Amino acid sequence: MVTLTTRTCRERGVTLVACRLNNDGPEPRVARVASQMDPPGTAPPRHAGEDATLRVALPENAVVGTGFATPAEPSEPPARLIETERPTEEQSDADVVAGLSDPRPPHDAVVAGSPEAEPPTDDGTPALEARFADSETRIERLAAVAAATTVPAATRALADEGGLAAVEALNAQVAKDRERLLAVADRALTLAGRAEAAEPPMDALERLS
Amino acid sequence: MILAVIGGKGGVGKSTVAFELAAALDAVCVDGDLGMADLPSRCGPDLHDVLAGRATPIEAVDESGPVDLLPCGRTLAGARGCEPTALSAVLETVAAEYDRAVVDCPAGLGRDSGAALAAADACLVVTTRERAALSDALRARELARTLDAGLVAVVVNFASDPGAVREKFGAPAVALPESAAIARATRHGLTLGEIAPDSAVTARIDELATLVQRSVSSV
Repeated sequence: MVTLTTRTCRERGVTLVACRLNNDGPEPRVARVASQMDPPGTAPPRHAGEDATLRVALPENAVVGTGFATPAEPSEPPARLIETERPTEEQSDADVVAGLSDPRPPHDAVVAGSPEAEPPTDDGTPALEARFADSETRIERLAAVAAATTVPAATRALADEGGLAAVEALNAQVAKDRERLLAVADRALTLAGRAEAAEPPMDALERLS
Repeated sequence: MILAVIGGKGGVGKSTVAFELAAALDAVCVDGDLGMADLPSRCGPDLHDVLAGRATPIEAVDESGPVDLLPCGRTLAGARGCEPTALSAVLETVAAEYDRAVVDCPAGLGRDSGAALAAADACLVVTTRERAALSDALRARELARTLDAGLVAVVVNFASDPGAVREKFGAPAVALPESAAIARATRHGLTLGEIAPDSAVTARIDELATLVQRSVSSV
């Protein structure tokens, strides 16, 4: 059972009402406490709703303090426990953050084709993924040749690739890869922009349906 | 320990306070302003790279300046390519490695500020005594409360006394007077401790650092 005890004191024209809520039950509860003062309460903390009630979460077997301040003269009782209820699931931090505005600049503000302009995603189609993987292998092979800085290492790298002609062919292929990758990035950016522009006014549509 | 420096309104001095506090607390200062970074930038990977998965948080921390800094990129494309909600995990990684992180939040209350507050153990609200700044600061305080980032104190910038801010916010208020030393430190990318160790404003920053240390037990 939840019980409320109150204490008031008046300081410099403000009545401070201290409330002590004791939940001696084995279940957490949410208590609603209403001010009985006139005016009900004005100073912080301002968690009081429009109906001048405070909602306070009480863990099981716990004492929780709350309170409010008002310019009204002290009266008895200064506050009343209206009801207690089972706590409802609280919104998670992630939900709160997701409900805030997106700080990123709009797509139109970004130079098209900029390689860093789209967030990383893991949802590439298998074909695209395979093409990326092929390009990556070729780029790594060419980088390994480029990384050889001594004569023996360069000779070994050339031999691994099958000779100078093979490396030339690989180099040409990687240059083509680069062109293709940039084209894909361009296309992806354009599509993302269209996706953004295509977003219908869902609120209005919901009202119509 | 992660401390978020928030404010809501732009131009009230969040970045300066975050930078100086990071110096006083020997913490990493994270420039969380994805769209308009204004802490000193240096070469190397930045927060844009980290939030787009191109660099790890730790390799982006620059230890070469007077304050360890995780700078933020300044390109629109970089800001566009970020995942702002990933900032929480970045801050946790930095705090795990360096013990303390102070994150300079952007103006406004977007997902980047929210992600910083969600990860933060505590926050400082920076405001001036102007009406617009105060109302934005109150909204920032409300978001911090929702995300369980306890309010350590309110910094009233460009003021010699905090006025009624303490009563308005129900929290300690520290006034930071306008100071030539701050302007000089900002211009040179140095800290107040280096430029003017004995100035009144340096003492106020130290007072803030003590308040932070007292309210966050793990510091």
